Amino acid sequence: MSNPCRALCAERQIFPGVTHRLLVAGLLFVLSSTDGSDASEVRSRSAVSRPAVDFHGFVNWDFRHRRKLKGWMATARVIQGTLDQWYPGRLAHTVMENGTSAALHGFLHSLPTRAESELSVVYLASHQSPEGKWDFVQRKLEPLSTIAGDSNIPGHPVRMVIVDACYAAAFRRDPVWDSAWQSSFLFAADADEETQELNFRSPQPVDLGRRYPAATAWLNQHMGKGWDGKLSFLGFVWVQTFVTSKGVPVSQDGWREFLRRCEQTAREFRQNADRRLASSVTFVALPTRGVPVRERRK
Amino acid sequence: MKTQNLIIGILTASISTARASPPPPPPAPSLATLFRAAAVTSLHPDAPGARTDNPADRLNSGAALNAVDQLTAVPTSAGVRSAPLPPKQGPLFSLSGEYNYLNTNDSRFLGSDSQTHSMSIGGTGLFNGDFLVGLNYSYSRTDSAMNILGSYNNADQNFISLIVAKSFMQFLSIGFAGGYGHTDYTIVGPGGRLPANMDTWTVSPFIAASYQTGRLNTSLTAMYHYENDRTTAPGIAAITDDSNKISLTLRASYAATERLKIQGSVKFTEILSGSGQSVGLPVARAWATFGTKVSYSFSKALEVYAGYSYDAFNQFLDTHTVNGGLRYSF
Repeated sequence: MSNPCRALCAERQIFPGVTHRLLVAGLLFVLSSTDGSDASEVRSRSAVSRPAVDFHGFVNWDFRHRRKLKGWMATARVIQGTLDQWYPGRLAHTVMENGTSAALHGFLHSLPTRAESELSVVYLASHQSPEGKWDFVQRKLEPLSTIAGDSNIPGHPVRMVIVDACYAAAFRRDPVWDSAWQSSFLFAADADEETQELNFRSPQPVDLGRRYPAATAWLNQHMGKGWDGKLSFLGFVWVQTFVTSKGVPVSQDGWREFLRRCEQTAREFRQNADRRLASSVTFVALPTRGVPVRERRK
Repeated sequence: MKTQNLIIGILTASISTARASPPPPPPAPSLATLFRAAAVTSLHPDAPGARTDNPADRLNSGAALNAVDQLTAVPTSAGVRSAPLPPKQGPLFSLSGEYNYLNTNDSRFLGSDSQTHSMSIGGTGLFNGDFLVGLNYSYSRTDSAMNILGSYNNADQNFISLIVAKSFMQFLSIGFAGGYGHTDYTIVGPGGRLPANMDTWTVSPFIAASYQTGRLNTSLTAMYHYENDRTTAPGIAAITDDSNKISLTLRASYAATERLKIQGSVKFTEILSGSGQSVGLPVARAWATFGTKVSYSFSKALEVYAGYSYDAFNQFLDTHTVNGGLRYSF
């Protein structure tokens, strides 16, 4: 049985050692139990003095009262792997699995500031209601925008928040959401639609291996034999856009272009592959006005 | 001569059973009366529910397996559903049509071989990704050659079946199918023509577990089938049969390509109880059905399929079934 609150921290590798995992998991479990504690304390750092990119994921997947979201956990690994390939040796990453709402509080509060990283990528995945409530594996429904609003998220001028859940764009209805983040967003679905899981191991309903050979090859190479082929739709969109990218995004404009292409990939899948499996991936750019950088409250 | 005496003896006994009337014993029946009695009782050499070519069972079983397929094909989504549903999360509807040809060879002395042509149409609605409602109708034409008195009959069978099913988590489906059927018989023999008809009521609850790994999808479906048949004919007391049986169906399908799927199935059926002894015929209590099916999707919406199945290990009845159909989803 898996620990309800696990975390993986690693530097320059996708799969850290077991000892490291257990140590960090234990630390984060203690931190999450004490509500509001600063998980950044346990975020490991690269041997490089300052990593260029921070990837932080919070994934609720091991549900007992709902369908398990294994594909969403795999998506976190995919995003982490692509960033690692783009920025070798310059990626710090943390993925917290199946945490409580208190753990999410701590997770958001401990996100890096500009002083700590040049680019911050945040991946959030869980079951979500049309009203924007997140379901936690502990059978607790809470509005994510409220949690975000109460977490005093440290500002970062180059932050991208990926929300991979059904009705993901529903958060945009709540002004608290935008003011809490002040970031760019990539939503996996519109406020009125679900987002699905795809399976690369089965040719039905869509033979992803035949239609998207480059993405399939990358996944087979990087996800290991233990991977069951399941990926969230956004994960597919991400990796397909990644393998068709000509260069590494090194600026905000580069990232905007990449995320716009993610939108396009999703649209093309809807048109050419399967209408029902697709959802509307939406990129919401950071406002052009100056973004105040709010340091973490001590 | 000995055989003829035996038949008349059996028929006389069956008339007594059918009328269920106390003594005094009736006068010696005429040949025409014997024929009428034989014709009606021979409609039920065993309970209709015990026959391998039972149309009500076929309709309910087919609807249940189709429901399991649809419910387990729903992909995982990261949503917490609530009412009212968002507009883009609409139901999935499908319409289907199927043709079946069944050939049954009855090896019993007083049994009847039959050939059945059956057409069925149906529609289902899948709501909220986990709740299915469906309605199916079938028309079957069965021509039977009875070994008794050299007679034969034609049956026009109309059945309607409603199905409701719900899935839980990723692997469990529970539901029931039930319906009504009406059969018009025309029996032709040495005593002339005899019209008869039968009303059928069925209830078939089921539970299924499914598991998918890669290209392979497996499911195990357990179903209980209760059937009540009431047969009436002019001048003959009504005959009522109640039958109860269970079946266990194991299916494995392999997705060969995005469009092509191959399926194999084994179904074990056991009769729990059934009257079906009106002319004292032996009844097979259990048998197995082996089937295969190939389906091809011309598009995401349109699928066609063809299948074959054979009922094996039945002591008395050999039934071969071929079928083909199409399903349109929208």
